[in-house]
Amino acid sequence: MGGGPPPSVSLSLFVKEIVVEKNDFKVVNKRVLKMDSLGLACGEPVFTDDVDINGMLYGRILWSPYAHARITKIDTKEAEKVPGVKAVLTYKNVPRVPHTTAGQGYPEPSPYDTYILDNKVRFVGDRVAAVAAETPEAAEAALKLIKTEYEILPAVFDTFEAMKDGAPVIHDEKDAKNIPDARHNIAAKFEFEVKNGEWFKDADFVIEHSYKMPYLQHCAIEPHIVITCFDPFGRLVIRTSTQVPFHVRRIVAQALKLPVKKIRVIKPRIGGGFGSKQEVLLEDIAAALSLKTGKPVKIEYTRKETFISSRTRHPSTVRLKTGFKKDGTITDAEMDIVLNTGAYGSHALTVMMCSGSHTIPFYKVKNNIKFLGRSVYTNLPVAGAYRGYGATQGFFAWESQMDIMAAKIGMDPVEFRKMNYIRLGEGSPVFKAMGEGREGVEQVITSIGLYEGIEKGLKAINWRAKKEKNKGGKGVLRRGLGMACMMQGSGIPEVDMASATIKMNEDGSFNLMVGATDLGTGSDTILAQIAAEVLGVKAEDFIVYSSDTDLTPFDVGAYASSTTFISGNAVKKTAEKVREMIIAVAAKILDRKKEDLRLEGGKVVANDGAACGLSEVANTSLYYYDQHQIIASASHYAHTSPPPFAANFAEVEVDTGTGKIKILDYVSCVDCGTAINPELAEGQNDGAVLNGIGHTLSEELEFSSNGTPLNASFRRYKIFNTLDMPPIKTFLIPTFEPNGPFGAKSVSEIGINGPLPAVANALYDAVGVRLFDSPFTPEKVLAAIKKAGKK
Amino acid sequence: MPPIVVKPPTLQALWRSLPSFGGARRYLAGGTDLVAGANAAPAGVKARPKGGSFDRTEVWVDISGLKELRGIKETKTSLMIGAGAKIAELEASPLVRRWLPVLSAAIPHFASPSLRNMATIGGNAANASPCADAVCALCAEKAQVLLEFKGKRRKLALPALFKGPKKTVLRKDELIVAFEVPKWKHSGAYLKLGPRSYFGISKAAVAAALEMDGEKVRSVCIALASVAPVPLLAVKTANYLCGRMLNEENARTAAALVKTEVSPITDVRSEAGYRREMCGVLLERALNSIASGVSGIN
Repeated sequence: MGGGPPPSVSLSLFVKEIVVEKNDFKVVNKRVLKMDSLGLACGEPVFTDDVDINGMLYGRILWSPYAHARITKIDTKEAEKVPGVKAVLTYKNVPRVPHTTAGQGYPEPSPYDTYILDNKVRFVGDRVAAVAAETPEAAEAALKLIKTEYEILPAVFDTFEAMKDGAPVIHDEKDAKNIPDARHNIAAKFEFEVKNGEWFKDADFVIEHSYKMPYLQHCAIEPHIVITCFDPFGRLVIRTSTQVPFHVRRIVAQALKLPVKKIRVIKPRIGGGFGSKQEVLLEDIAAALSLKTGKPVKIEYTRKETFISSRTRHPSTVRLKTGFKKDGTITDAEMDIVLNTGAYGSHALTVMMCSGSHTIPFYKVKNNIKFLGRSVYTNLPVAGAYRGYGATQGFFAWESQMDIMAAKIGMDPVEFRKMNYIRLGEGSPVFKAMGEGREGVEQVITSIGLYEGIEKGLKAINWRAKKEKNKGGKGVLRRGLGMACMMQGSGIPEVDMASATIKMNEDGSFNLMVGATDLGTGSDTILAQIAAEVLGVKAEDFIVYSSDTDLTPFDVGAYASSTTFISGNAVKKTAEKVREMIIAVAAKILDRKKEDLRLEGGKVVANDGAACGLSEVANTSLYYYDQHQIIASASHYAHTSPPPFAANFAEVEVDTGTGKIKILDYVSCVDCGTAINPELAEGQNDGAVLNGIGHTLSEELEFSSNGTPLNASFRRYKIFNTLDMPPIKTFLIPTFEPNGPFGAKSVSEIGINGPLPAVANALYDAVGVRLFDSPFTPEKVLAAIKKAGKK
Repeated sequence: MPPIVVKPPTLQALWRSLPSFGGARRYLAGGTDLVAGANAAPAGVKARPKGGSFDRTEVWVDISGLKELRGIKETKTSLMIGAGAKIAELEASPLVRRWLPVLSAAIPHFASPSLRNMATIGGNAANASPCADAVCALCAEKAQVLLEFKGKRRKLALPALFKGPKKTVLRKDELIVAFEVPKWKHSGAYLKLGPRSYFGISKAAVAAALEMDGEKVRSVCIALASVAPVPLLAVKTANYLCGRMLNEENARTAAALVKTEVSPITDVRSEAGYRREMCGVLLERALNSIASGVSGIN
């Protein structure tokens, strides 16, 4: 047995020390009830669609039937004559402003290659025109009467074909911005090398493989939906299912040439996002229809539209070439990723960067590192943000290859990982080199519970005993075990910013106003827990209002696993300011020194036992003495992005007759620092794992030879559901992240990265075949088994 | 749904009033194919389920109120299953459990519990999908189907109802009223390979019903789903098995034989070659499971 505790004993001591403090938590790290859960379970009207506005029109969009074509003629006269139709928009009557739909910090690192409407269509399902009418039926009828003539252009669907000289140029428009090489359809490109001597010189072995993932859709329960209307002052109000309300405000202002002050964005409750709603997808066109008609407009995607005309995961080809020594040292790593960004470059650069920046630093590479990333336009649906954000694609390659390398040198794959993963206090040149649109930030690991996670997982899945039992398996059903380790980030360092405001009320309750965007994730609840912990009250003493650009302070939104870490820190700072204000008032009431006072159990308590209730403090400040509102705001942005770590273990049973893989057991151990709400953290991870299992065994969006999606419905695109759910066990491995609020790191994305490599490795363990392209359908598995048998 | 849906109270009233319902008309039973198909149609994107194109001017004739189509009755030689019987009723029926082992094994694979509460066995047949689990199972049970038009009845072997995907031999306005399934002392199995644990259309499925005479097979019926344009009876394979011992070797030969009888296609759900192969694997497993006395495992 190699391995043993890594040379980070000091970490363990550090953790132990903190554990004492952790045990003192009153609200944080507790299973507090999600504050909107009862209302949601009882069907309260809280979603975007749950309001009726007088005179609301129904918006519908005409979609391109061609993968690549220029609109030579578009005639809307007949459509406009349909009774009830109030507006028909084409590229001729909307502003032409190149922008990106990616809801990212300004200036967005994605190319400006999108228009509200254009005279060119770039995939089957691209926007051609839009209609607003008094009834959905009238809108549908009008769509059919829009007469469009197209000049059909040659289309390209393969990324490698698209990069060739002479390939159809998808973005030939002159006014697009920040496309590095439009002629070769390259939407984003990045190269990076660390060179310490000759490539592969020290390596005993060199291995190279390519790993592929297909088009995948998020399948959030609530489809994309927006309602635009006007307030009494004629300002545009956008009620929308979004992860990024503040970016929506800015990008809609940009695309429609409106001042930001003319727009208010409200995010109600959201039925899931998973990245698909980090996107300004419908708000611009609904707003354009409202501006044209002066009326409220609603647009809601059907499920089919969600599959085709929203966003997807970037299909990927990762070529990974690694050199390593017999003793388990990894000497060289060359990672070359080609992403298919589809017709537009939303998140084209940043997903590609994260595929490297979240994976390469994870294992120590002694000598040389090279990364080449390209995001390539094709005439297929638009890729965007999707939980895991490139790391999913990257870890499939890395964690499969780790097993291949370990097998080559006859080392236990678990020990091989233990030997090489990044340790406490260690950094990587990659952190600095690879940022998201600008240079990255140098950082070292300040908390890691991976060793404990691996040990816990081995025990929970009964790794050693099962390995022994499965040896030399015969018969039709074969069992195997596989594991994978991974990390993610916690927000984008020196890019993401969040802020909060806390206001005190007479009864000692507080309003917490945050820009942070609860998508069903529970962030409203955990942010209240953080504030409550600071102020010595209960989470339910907070009335949380989130994500309204008029009423809450700024937050970049819910993405990049940032909310707990970035918004949580902003809330903590705000609460600390309020605490000072409360203590200042209480010091007068109690006639004690401020430094002798603390907040506890809803009171201000002095060291000598004197105390006064928070309502007394509030009433004093509001009505009796030196009157003022106890209120504070604070912002947070971080200089590091402390990675959460995870170790995943899968036991599979492979039916060698049918090729069907059944996951018998799945263990996921996650170090997310302090789990602010363990129940919600576990739920996030369980969901991420099941999402990843769907990627692994079933999901793939398929296309005909002319680029038409073939399975854009739940009838044909199978996501896994409760009955498919293997016994997933999530274990939270507590560590204390010094830069996080009460030691917290992120938890939302990391879990999706595990199933694909863990199951790939388990499949190999069971039947000795390895698949390099997902999903691992019975057809592919059986073909691989047969191929291996013939050799 | 179209603007006009009529609901006759009795079969007689249906036949009487039918001519007044205008040109295009269609029967509505459980609605799980018809309504879902129609709902998918006005999506803005051209989306219509195969063969289920939706014409807003057509009249739907709701037959869910017809008592004549209800119930599961036992006669001396057979079970009479009303076309309006819900799949969930079949699932709960002691008669079905006692006499129809293949159908009993197939029902858990039929869509989802909520769809089984709505869907009818008649609708499942009328929809004429080659993937229909309950229909495939009934074919193996040697079911006959009873059709009626204005009081005139005819009876067909169930497989003869189907002409192709979504196509039947039903004449205009002819209605499926019942299924007559013989009572015979057989064991059965239904094995399905789908895209996930449940609620998915099969890549391939095999239904096998088998009556033994001592060590030898007295009578056998094998039906397959999703591997031909219609629910398919594997006649050659059944003939081969008849009179032979039910052992592993014969099961293997039957498996090889059944692969020559099917004509699967490659589509979004699976590949032709894989499907053909699976017919063999599933049949072999079905026969072996029956031989070992376990029916309907998957």
